[in-house]
Parts: sequence; C-alpha cells; structure tokens
Amino acid sequence: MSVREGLLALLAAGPKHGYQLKSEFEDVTASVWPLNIGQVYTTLDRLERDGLVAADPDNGEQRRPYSLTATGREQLIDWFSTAPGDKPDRDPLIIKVLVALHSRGVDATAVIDIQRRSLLATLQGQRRAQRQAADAIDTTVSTNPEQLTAVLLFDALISRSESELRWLDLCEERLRSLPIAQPSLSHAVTKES
Amino acid sequence: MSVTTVHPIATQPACEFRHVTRSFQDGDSVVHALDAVDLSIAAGEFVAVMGPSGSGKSTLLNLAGGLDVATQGDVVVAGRLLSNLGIAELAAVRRRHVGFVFQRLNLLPTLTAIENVMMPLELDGIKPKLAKDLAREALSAAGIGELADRYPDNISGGQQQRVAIARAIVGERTLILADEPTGALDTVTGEKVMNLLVDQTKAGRAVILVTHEPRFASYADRAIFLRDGAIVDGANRRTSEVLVG
Repeated sequence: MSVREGLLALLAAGPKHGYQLKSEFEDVTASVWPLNIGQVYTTLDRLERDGLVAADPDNGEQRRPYSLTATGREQLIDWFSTAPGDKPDRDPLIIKVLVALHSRGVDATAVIDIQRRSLLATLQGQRRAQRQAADAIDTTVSTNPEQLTAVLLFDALISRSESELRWLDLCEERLRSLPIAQPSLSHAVTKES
Repeated sequence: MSVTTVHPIATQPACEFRHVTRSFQDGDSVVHALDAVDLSIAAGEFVAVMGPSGSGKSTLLNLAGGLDVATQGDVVVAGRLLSNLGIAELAAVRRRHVGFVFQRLNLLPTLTAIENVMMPLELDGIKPKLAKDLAREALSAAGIGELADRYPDNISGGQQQRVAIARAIVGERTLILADEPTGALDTVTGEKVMNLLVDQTKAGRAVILVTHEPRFASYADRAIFLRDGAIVDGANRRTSEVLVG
C-alpha cells in the first residue's frame, strides 16, 4: 500500500500534520488518489505504532505535527530501492479476450475491434487532457512542478493504454497466423479435447 | 508558434475516397490492396490510419497523394477528380495541394534547409524571391526559422523532420500526407512533430497520418483501422455481431 510510504516520503522533508499530508499527497500524485482525512490519521496511527513516525510533543496547537523516525527513514529507503513486484495476471481486458478466443460462437476479432476502438477513444481523451495540462509545456515545465506532475501522470496512462492496444494488435496478428478458420479457437479446443 | 492560414473551400472535403478499390494481379489471382473504401476527410481534420502490415495503409496514402491510381472508384483531392487528370495535371495537384512527410526524410543533403523547402515551389514556377519568403514562413511555422541556412547533416533528426514538414506545408497545401513520420524519432521528439501536425489542422489543412503507434494516432481527431484493404469500424460493430453462432 503506497499511502504509508507516500506519507513517510512527505515527512522526510520535515514535520507535518495530517491536513498538510493529505493536501501534499494529493498534489504530488496529481489527485489520482484522493485521501480522506480519517484515512490519513488512521495511517499515521499505524505508522506511529510501528515506530516509523512520532507525534511531536504537544505544542499547544490543535494539530500536532508528525516526524519521521530513523526506522521510518530506513523503511522509506527500502521502498524506493525495491521494485513493486509483479502485477496480477487477472487483468480484465486479458481475461475478456482470452475467454472470447475460446468461446464457441464468439467472433474474437469483433471483440478485439470493439476493445480497440474503445481503448483508442480512451487514449485520445488522455491525450487531450494531457495537452490541456501541458499547455505550453516547453516553456513552463521547469518552473511549474504541478504541471509536470500532471503531464507525467498522463504519460503513464497513455503508455498503459498504448501497451493494451499493442497487445490487442498482437492478439489479432497471432490469431490471423493460425491455420484454423476464424473467428474463434473453440473448434480447435473441441478437436483437441 | 505562427501558423499560416490557408483558405480551403469549407464545403469541400480536403480528400475524398468514393468506393475506391486498388487491385494487383498476383499470378492467377487478384489481390485487393484496397477494397471499396469510402472515406471523406474535411478541411482541418486530422485522421490517423492504422492497421497491420499489408492492410492497405500505404496504398491509401499513395492514392490520396496521386502517386498511385485507383482500379475502381474515385479519389478527389482539392475538388479535383484525380482519375480525370493527365500526368502533368496530377503532378501539379501534388505540388500545389499535397504535402508529403515520410519516415525517410528525403531531404537533399547538398541543399540548405530553406533550399529544400523552396524546391517544390520553384518546380512549380514560383519566382525565387517569393519562394524564399514562403519557405521562410513555413520554416517559422515549423519552429525552426533559425535553421534556414543549415544543411541537413548539421541538424538533429527531429529538426530534419521539421524541415520535411515545412516542405510539406509550404505555400497553400491543403492536404498533408504523413507516413510513419515519427518512426525514426524518440518519443518526446515524435510528440513535438505530432503537435506540429495538429497545428497544421488549426490552419485549415487536413492531415492523414499512417502509423502503427497508438500513441501517435491518439493525436488525430479520428482514427480508422484497415484490415485486408477495408475499413473496420469498431464503433459500428454491434454487440450482436460478436456472437456468430
């Protein structure tokens, strides 16, 4: 769960209270992961319980800031230094196409076409949003980190859609290179079984 | 970035395919590289053409640019029915109305950037002074006005592609045909080239982009997908079509 580590990373810059952490977390992640304040404080409680952060001594103010402990700093370094690990294989698009390929009476190519059309529309939307976020990016990117954050987020979303589209193209290519008749592999499966 | 405005006749598509077929004889059989394609591209519209190798993308582009001739059907560019034109008239339509951008840049290495851009105008009989002014304007529109006197070998790949785009838009071209123009470029430079093509549509030019890269196709207003020479339109495929049994 990256909220924990996100909060640790923000605290590495200095003590902060919960509302500050919520607002900064949303800024650095281009608001793709809105947090509610209850969630922030629950996470801070757990981090404190695990010795990764410490609530600063009561300074008489209503909101008490939290600081990163030495253990918290180590955990943060570990997080930055390790890969996120394999993503689950149960991607809905993958499953849909695989099922279509093996379903008798389903035109897998038509399924691929429909998915492709929809993904391309998504990609066009992401591109438009990025262009809006990146208005005059060449001249302002170095002075506007928020804009860069949004641009990088859309880069990631665009890359993901692009990868799915490439996979659909590959599915179609492989399907077309099969000696058996289209539109579905179900006959092949039936024959083999 | 300054954009030269062209003045297309708004009611007339920049390019139109009316039931266009392009066939080739392959031994005893006939192969349809393009099969009864209907397509209308409005002035100021950006259309991406996608599809697997051999699906007819380049054939479509060559027909739109008058580099190839339809076996059946009509291709209309800038209001001219290409099949009615003789070789010289066809060449004139290409020079005046159509700009080409290829993956291979085809810049002449012995000419400077501005001389490369001027060349199609001079071939068309435009006087050198005017040709130079128009070329300078096109280079500025492509964001590389300052590179006018540099030779292709002395500028980067991205800058060379901008020169090629300047050459494609110079004068009053209304249709830009781009075949994998980003193929030899890194992603960020490729995106700058795409932005430049988008700018051309704002100036009223139509752009047809052939690409296998969804990333670049997403810049277009509309993407069409070719398979076996025909347009596959996922949007028109109904749920009922999915079930065939």
